[in-house]
Amino acid sequence: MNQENTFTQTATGYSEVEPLVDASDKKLLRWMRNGRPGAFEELFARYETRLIAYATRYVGSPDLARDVCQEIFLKLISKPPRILICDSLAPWLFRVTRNLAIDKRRRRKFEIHEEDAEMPEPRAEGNPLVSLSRKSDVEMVRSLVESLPTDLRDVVELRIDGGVSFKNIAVLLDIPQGTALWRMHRAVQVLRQEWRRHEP
Amino acid sequence: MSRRCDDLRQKALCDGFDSRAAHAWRIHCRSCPDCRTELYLLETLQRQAQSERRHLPRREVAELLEQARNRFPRRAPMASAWTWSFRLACVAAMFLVVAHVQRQNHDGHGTQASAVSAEATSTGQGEVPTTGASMGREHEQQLAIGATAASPTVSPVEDDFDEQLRQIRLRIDSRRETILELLDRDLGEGGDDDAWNASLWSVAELA
Repeated sequence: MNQENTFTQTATGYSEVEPLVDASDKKLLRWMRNGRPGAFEELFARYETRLIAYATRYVGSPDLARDVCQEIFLKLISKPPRILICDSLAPWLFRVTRNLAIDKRRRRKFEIHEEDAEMPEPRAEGNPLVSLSRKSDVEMVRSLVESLPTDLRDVVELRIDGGVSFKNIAVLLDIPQGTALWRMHRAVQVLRQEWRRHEP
Repeated sequence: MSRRCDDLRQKALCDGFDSRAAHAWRIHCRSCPDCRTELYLLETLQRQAQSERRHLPRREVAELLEQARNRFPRRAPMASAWTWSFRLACVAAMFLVVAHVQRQNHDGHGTQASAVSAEATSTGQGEVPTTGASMGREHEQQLAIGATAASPTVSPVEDDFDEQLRQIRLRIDSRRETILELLDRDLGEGGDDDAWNASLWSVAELA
């Protein structure tokens, strides 16, 4: 990180020895409110790509997912959460992302976009045959995930796409951590069984 | 699928696919086809998720950072000190006001209590009642304590609680006396076992 991470300003509530990288989300949020340079950047770096990947699951388009991500961080700037459970910003961020992405997807159903029809396919890299088989596998697995019951799919998407810990998933979905783990196990078992049935 | 499969999968899922637990699960997968399938599916999903982890365009990131800087401007070191000094001064002022009000209340109670005690002494209500209906021994002791506490030689430094307790006792005594007088007047004087007196006994005495 840049040199500002070790910026010192004890009078505004942050210590001179604690770097931003090691700080918890709660501290970063407090420092951000106090105007410490680099605090918002650190939060942004922690969650930016994960939020985009997670939002892509809901909106289906990377560009829309970027818009969602930008809106989330604008929301974080304008109305940061007052209380954080488990010292982590992840439950708040991913919950807001999901709500916003679902809202966007709902609105998008009533809009017609020209770019949807003209969207170019991503260029295949490496061996075309391997790439083709991998792509078909990816699509197959993804369609299997989408066919899972909602409660199981939520956990899989949060864990795999969002990279959210089970502790935070439990907070986010308002369930015990054991239940979150069980749902993940169950989802994996169902995926395996379905994969066996559809395996080429 | 065995229990070992579940344990290995759980550890790998909790710790992530680049952890030591995931490595152990991979080794186990060589001899377990079910786990091999599961790992393949999860790694496929993970790879796709990694490929979708993109960044915002630089221009938008710059806008966001600018907004954050404007929304949360860097505070001057003294600004916080002034804020805390102001808060401290407010708390101190509030404390002083509360202390002042409490002192006034205390003085008022003291004066009122002295006046009531003096009145009680002059009318004879402050003494231990020896006439009228006979009460239980405990009740008499309480009355004696109340009467003693209500004597004019009350120390001004006694607590508010004691003052209030004393006043309540005085009020109860005077009301009891009034009721007894009324009963005597209307029904004539009765013995200790009279039903009217029995009705005035306390629950403790009855017990």
